[in-house]
Amino acid sequence: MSQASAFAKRVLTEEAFAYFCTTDMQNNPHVVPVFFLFDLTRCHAYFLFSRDSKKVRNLRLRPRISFTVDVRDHVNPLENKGVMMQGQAKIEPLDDPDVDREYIKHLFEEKYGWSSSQSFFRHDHAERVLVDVTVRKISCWQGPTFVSCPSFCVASREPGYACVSSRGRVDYAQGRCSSTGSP
Amino acid sequence: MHPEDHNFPAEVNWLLEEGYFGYLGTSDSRGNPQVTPVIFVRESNSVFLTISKVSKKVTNIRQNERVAFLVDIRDPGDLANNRALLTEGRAKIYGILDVLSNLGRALRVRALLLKKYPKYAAFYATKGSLLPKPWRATLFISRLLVEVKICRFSYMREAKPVALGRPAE
Repeated sequence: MSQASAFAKRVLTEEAFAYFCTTDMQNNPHVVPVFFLFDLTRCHAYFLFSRDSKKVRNLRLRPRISFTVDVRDHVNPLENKGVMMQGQAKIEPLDDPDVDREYIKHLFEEKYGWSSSQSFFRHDHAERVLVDVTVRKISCWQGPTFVSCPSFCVASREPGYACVSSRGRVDYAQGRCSSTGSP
Repeated sequence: MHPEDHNFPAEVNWLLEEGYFGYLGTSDSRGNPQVTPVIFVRESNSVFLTISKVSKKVTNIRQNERVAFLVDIRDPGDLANNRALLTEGRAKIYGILDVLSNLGRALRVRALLLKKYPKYAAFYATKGSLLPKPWRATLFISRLLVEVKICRFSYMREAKPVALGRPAE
């Protein structure tokens, strides 16, 4: 596993918070810290949100989203690390029979270690939605530079997807992540 | 809540003053959002950032001045024990003339940045030249000064919006 893949995988599986950004119809961005799950195999992210929250209202109108997961270093900026993703969100009500609630519950509790009484599932399912994000672009950075695309990045295997290369530019090379241009 | 002056509630002041990292949400003219971590200082009713000239954030702000800026604190021992301040506002990129015509303020912002991030300042002073040019700290050469004027804010405690009391004295 490359260094980029290892660090991106660690950040995405171990960090507790993501910063989730949506926009409304007037193009006002909205950012909130959220809990999340990331499926490295499918390159999908999952979130559980209140049905009537501002971010869900935004998603119903504009499903394009961005979220960042990062590790902060208060001393050395070269040690800051992070992954920023952009993608398309799909809202699935938790009371939808097609949603495997027990599986989602298991995944969240496995990551966050909540007991059933503390978990999101103490809430009325009708008030919650599962937000499934198909990731279309990944940017990873370590300190001041972008690092090469992680091996699980969907852009490494799907045509038409994009990632940010080690030199900080987007490249769409028919399913390959490659480096072009200057930052 | 619409701030009328810099007398924000104490909780808001505290996060704006003591928060170490913020998250800037921008979007391009087509509504594609982006969120990235930044360092910042608060000056009056605004926060100031220095952003790499080549960053997507700058491109987005040139297309759409509306931004969101979030500051939060996390408790690693209790994930539910968090505080967050979401501000919404308009971003302005300072050109050379803007800096010259607001020189006092720009110098104040520089002093605040140096005071708040002394270790970063020391790093850039001693090792900044080793970085790729776009990521160095030199204003106008590598970075741009960006003001986010706070138009609205909301405060969240334990992931829930909280109505704050009257502004701090």
